[in-house]
Amino acid sequence: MDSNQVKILLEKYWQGETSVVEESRLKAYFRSDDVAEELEQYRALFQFFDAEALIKFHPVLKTPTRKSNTVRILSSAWVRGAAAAVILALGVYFFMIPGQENIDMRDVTYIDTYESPELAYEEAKKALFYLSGKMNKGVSTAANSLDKMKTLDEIVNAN
Amino acid sequence: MSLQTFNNQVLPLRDKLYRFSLRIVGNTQDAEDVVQEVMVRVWKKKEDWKQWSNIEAMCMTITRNLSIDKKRNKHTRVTDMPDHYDEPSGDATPDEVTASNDLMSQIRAMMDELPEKQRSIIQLRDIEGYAYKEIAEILEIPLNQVKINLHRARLFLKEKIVKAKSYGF
Repeated sequence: MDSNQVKILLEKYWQGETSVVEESRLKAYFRSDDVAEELEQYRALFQFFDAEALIKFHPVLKTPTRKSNTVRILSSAWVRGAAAAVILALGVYFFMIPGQENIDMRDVTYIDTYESPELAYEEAKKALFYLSGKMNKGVSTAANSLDKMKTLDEIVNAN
Repeated sequence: MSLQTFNNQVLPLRDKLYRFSLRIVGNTQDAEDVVQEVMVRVWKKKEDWKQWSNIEAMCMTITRNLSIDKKRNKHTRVTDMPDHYDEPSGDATPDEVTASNDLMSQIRAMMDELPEKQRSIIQLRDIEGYAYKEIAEILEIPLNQVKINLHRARLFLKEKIVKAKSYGF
């Protein structure tokens, strides 16, 4: 197509009177290497139309980075699920299985370990003395430490 | 078989719908949202497809309406920066024009200066190659309005290009 034909066509184009076929011919002309110098200024417009027609819709959700994140989240959820299952299984093992032996916990409270109340009293006394002895030892140790602190305090204040 | 119709007639339109929305909203994120929304809406209306004379034109109409809504809602947000604030405008000074070698972005900026209707008509005709009748159907306007607006839009672009050239474009 020579430049005079293009100019006529281009004039029709600005007026909005070209057909789709004529517009395709114009686009083809401006895609070629031999565009007349005076028409060169319009090349960018037709190139712009060509370039814009190639834009594609790319949904963001399909990016590989997102995919790897999803896998990691899934696997950590799987681990948490497995841990919960193990705890549940242990719970069942320790609490449900003794329950199946039909031990009435109310009975446990009333089972006596000594035959006579006197003997039980003696044993309890012994245990309490032992406990109080240990407690007094602790108190005296603390009192000793406090004395040492007092001495230290006096030295510090004296200076 | 609605799924087959959707896969054959609606899904392949997604690039076209995306480009149309992008021309109106001006950013990829919003245009992607619009396309997703159009797909959902069209699928929900599958009972009405038989009454639609042209599924493609209907999809384009829905795309345009949702895009205009999106753009309008965005403008009501006070903190938003104007679209393409960082690109050279059509009214750039000669120095700025000379400094910018990106012809495509200059043309894009010229397009953005057009009113929405004219911009959409250029998109549908010069980029997508629709017939005047189809454009009239998509935009829900009379045929002569399509021709008048196309003529105005093209003349505007021509004048802008000539003006830019005289500044050393």
